[in-house]
Amino acid sequence: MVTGIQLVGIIFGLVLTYFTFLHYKRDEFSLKEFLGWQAIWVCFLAITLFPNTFYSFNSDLGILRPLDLYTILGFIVVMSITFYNYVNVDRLRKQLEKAIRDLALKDFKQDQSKK
Amino acid sequence: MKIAVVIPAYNEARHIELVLHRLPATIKGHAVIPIVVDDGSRDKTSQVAAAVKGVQVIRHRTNLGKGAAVKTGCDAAYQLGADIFVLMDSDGQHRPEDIEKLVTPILDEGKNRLVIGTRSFSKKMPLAMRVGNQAFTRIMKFIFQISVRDTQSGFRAFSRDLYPSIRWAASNYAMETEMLVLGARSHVEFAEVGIDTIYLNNHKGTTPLDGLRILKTILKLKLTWSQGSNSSESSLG
Repeated sequence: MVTGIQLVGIIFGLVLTYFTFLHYKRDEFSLKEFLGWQAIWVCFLAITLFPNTFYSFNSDLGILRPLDLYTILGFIVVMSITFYNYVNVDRLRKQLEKAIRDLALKDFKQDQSKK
Repeated sequence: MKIAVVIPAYNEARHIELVLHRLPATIKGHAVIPIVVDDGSRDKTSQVAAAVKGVQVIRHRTNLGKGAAVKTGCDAAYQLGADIFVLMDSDGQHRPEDIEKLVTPILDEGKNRLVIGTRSFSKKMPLAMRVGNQAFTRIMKFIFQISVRDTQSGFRAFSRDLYPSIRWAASNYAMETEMLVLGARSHVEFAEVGIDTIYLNNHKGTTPLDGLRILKTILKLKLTWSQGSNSSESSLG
């Protein structure tokens, strides 16, 4: 018997599987990225469909319900992605700033040489 | 000697012309070079500035922030061979007549001086700005033992020799704070002169979010304080 929350999880997993496939087909993901993301969604769907499989794993970790494991894992993933995005956005911001400043100074130099 | 006045401007087409016309052509016999950095304005800031005789205009293709704009202007001043760099706002907040007060300690007393135009914290200053400035002044004293009355003032002057050691990395309003910390690290002498300030628009300038960014920069600088390195210095051409 599939519960309501499981149904939401399955739809979510399938939609993201489709979008990952779409990005791969549009050459926006490499094969490595495609397989990596697909592996994540397959795991996600497996946990959603068969939560009881993880009972023994849960008891080893001191977690009472499968849903708690889900919440904790979700939190860890969100925090990791936030950190990863922060580092990347900061790096991009610095690169962009340098490029725009270099371009402005290059234009300035050219204007100076014309005068 | 050449005195470069670096003016970062963002959407300041209304005020920039008046500011530029009020700039003196010389100070104590030294030529003044106005350098306007249009930080990706959507209005005609750069065109208005370029129309004023003798003004050098540099344009960022997109808005980067005050720290980045001032750094571009100072790098250009460095390339032009300026001996003294003056930083001032484009919105008419700072009086061009006060530039002489700022450069006098450098001309008379020595190059190893970072001169800060200190504002009076009277009721003319918006309350949020007054509280924020005083808080940062105390934080800077507590964390870095820097005793400067107005740590956030953007009206400053320093010599060419000093620039490589105080060249900041911050692209936002944290640049003033970073400049002070880098200066203290390099044993720069701080001098303060009183200036008049006119507050034309209470909604421009620093916001509470900028305050948080400045705080973040202070903490980051504290963590790297003992390392004594300036990551921004090496990239100066």
